[in-house]
Amino acid sequence: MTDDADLVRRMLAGEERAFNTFFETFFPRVYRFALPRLGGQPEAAREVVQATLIKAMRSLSGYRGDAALFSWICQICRHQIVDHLRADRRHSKHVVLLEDSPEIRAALEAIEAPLEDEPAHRYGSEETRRLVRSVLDRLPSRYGDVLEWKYVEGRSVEEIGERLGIGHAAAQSMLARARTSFREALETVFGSTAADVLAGMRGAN
Amino acid sequence: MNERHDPIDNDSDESIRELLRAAGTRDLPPADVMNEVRQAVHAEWRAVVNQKRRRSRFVAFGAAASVAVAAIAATVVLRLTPATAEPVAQVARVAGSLQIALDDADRWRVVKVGESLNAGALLRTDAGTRVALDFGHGLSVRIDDGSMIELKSARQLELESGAVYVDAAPQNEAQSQPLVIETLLGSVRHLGTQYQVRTQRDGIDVSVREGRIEISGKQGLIQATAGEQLVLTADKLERSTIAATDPRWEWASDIAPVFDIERQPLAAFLDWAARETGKHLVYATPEVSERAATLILRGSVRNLPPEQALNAVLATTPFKHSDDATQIRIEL
Repeated sequence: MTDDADLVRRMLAGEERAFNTFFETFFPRVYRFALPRLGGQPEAAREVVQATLIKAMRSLSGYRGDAALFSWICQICRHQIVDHLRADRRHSKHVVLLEDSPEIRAALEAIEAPLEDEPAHRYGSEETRRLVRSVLDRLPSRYGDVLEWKYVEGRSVEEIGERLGIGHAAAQSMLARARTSFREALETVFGSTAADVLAGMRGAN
Repeated sequence: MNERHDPIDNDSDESIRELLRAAGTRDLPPADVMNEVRQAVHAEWRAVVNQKRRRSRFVAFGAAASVAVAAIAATVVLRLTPATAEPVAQVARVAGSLQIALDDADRWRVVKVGESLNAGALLRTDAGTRVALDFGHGLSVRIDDGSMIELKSARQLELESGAVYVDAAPQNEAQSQPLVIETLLGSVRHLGTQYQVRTQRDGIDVSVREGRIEISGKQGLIQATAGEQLVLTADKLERSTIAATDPRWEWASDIAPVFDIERQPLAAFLDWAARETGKHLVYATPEVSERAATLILRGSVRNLPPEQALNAVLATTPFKHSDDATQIRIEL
């Protein structure tokens, strides 16, 4: 059973801790997914994300673990965004992000199961920055958070362990898995290494 | 914050570090938005879990009935039916919108003041909604916003999430058959008291304003008395203190059932105001006490919080009051 499927099973069993893990793991990611697609309007994002997660709760028993839980929630969120835009005529223009292009969307959703054909692209620096952040959101478990805490916020392994309620060895192991997962994801989405993506980003400036 | 480098870092990590720093931190949603959405999603999740449990019970019962003789099945149905149809409480006051679900947690409807609630009812309060329920015999239960409870019977409710405040007047017969609050970590039983139970991420917070309570659960029997706050998790118990006038009680006082002053002695109203504010009622002299017992009030203080009601009522009488942190002193 995958981690996602296990989390859903525990939630359906009524485990409060599982709900908290679910909410803290996915709410920020879904919010970041919805906000740019709703023209950056916070109130619309709140409404859509709330409706998305409520619908996810109602459909939880139908989650089979075939796709990553985040991809499954994003699919619900896409429908909610369309419904919201239909209901609110003020925003008749649907925002289409680079991540919504079929190729990138497939690559992002395949992060947990990398594609054989690796798309190699060069994007503008701002697009690359946003894609890198989207990649973090797509990583399994709390890998995206762990990498951000470690490399952007400069937290120690001990601090990361404390945040996650796990010991030093477990935190170190998680960090190693997160790095591997991130490197693989970059290969899937950009077709290149972190150093190459960085060089491309700097070259595009 | 000082950045610390761990031994596991190496050159190949530098490119990840630089790339992530160049990409920038992912935005965090505002905390108030997160809290608001969490409450709504949590309530829905609890409803889904409860519905699933109910269906499981129904399926289990159905399976049992199919192999039992008709007479036995009929007996089980007769035993179950009265318990689920029994009115156990009445809605005394609502600030916001109280919702109820009965046989199917997907179908919620709004409950109004004065409605009777039956055993088996699932209640939820959204953000900003607070409720007072009257269980009779002087037993009042207040439900904080963002809560979900199931009324099991006239003397038992299950706190799924959020917080409830119980006010059981010690002089009433409710004392002999106390309300039991079921939580994931144990059952909370009062012994003539005012207290609140609040669910937390990994446990419960039980605060006692008056009297004494008992919690029976995985950690055995735990007792707490007035002024104590217990935070109980699966493997830990922390005790601290909480004053009867602590601001954390205010939400329960604000949603106190309306005290109908019409033709009531002033002394009864003062007892109510003191109880709801957690203060001691002190009369300056025995004569003041006697006169308060014989002065009959007229009118209404409907929906005024206790402190404001006290000011409004005493302004129409010859009595004066002076408050401090712990007492209300009445004089002429």
